[in-house]
Amino acid sequence: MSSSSTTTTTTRLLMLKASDGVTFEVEEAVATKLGAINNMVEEEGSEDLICLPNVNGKFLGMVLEWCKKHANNNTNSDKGNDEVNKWWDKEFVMDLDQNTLYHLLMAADYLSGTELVDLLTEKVASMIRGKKVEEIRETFKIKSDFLPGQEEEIRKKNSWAFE
Amino acid sequence: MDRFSRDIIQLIFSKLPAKNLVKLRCVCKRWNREDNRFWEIGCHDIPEFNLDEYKLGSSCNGILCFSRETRDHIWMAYLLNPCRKEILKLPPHDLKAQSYIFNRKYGLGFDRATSEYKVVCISLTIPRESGKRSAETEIYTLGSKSSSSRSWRALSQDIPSLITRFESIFYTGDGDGDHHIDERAIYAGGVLYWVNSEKREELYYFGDNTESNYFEETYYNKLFTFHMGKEEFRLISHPNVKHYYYSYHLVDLRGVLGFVGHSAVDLSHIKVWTLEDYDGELWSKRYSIKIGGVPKYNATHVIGPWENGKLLLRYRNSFVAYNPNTHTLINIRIPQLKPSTLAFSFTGSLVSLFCFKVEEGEKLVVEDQSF
Repeated sequence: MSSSSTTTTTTRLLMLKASDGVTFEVEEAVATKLGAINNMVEEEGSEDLICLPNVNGKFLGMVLEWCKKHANNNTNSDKGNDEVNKWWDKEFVMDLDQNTLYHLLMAADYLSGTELVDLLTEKVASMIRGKKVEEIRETFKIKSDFLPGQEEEIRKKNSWAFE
Repeated sequence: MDRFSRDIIQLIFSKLPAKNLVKLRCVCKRWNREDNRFWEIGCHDIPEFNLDEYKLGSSCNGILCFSRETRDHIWMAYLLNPCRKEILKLPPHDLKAQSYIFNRKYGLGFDRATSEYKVVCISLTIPRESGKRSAETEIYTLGSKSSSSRSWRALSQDIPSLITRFESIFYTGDGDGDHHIDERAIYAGGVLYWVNSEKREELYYFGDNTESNYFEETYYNKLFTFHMGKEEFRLISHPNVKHYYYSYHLVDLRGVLGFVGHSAVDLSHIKVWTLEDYDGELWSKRYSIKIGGVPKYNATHVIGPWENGKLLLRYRNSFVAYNPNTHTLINIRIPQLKPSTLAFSFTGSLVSLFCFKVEEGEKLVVEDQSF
């Protein structure tokens, strides 16, 4: 991924280095949407190369793609941008497989991308909402590890939720 | 999913309704064990309140706010989360011996900017000195951190003129005597709303004509509101302000205020408007529900949202679901409900009241069904 080619006033560029050595050149305004990077920039100031040993290139790229879209859409403080962002967010999470969703969420959390974490956790929540216990287990490939009778006891205690 | 950190899991769970969360307990041991803040539920039955004694102020995010006036005229406010069976008794107000408290209204709301719950108390008082009615507002803040207030604080906004002019919100307008519908404040999207329960005819009959006309033009077509974030009272015009509604009530339609009006011109329909913009007082017409065949049109109430975009309606002791796509009404069987029982829309939540630090307040766990 290369930096945006728009020739506006000279915005500072940051180099982000992922765990697998892949580097990204991003405008400061885009990268600082991530709380962790914002902190590093504020604390260390002149540092232009930022190493991120806990995120690999694939997922860092996706996180930055999201940041860039939101940074671009937020430049004009138009009310319509909210709609654009919402629509774009929907597209972004639509076809994520569980593995990607997991790693993306871990990356967003590590980079303190609060808005993105919110979006992704909402996606996970939507996979649980309104589902039966068995369906949830199937979705997340979880095996019940209860002893015989334990699950029934929980169900009995909370029967109102199973009506 | 089971590899997520506890913080992430909690964030995901916080986005789910109570019923879903309970089901998650059955998925596996870890989820059953996860932080008790989310899991401690044992809601078989919702505790029964005697509404003659406890008055429902409002409900917000699954928490109900009640108040009670003792025989010694001491007012107490309570918060209740029925899904967690928790009751929190708020600290008493500072006793102002110089004032006689004529009446009080409580409302609970959520300030989205600060993530705090606020209990608003409006007192209609008659100070011993002047003997003239005035109003005082106090706020009690409940936050998850140290932001909970130690006591009630007086609101700085000078509202007496507004409130005393609008004191009819204090009169229990129970319409045809069926429901205590107008007592409550309705919380929707960061704002508390009260209706003016006084009827137009009464305004004509009482007081001289010029006075009532003035009152009608200025106040009759208004709702009395309190913005949780700004901590500011306001009056908001009814939708279609020139129109005369024979009766009306308010309802929370998933965070948006709904205004349900029985038009004097068209008695066979009830119309539902939603407040799209609070600052701009912008209403939009959402539903027009034909209730032909219902003998007492003003006894039909919209209780709240129902499944799949439907609305739940109540007429005396029967409930119907209105489907806005097909304009049909379907009977809903809800057994064992007296006509005098208050019914309202409620979304269960697992917000723990005991996370709030309340000094001098009492924490009670409901052990049985009634208290």
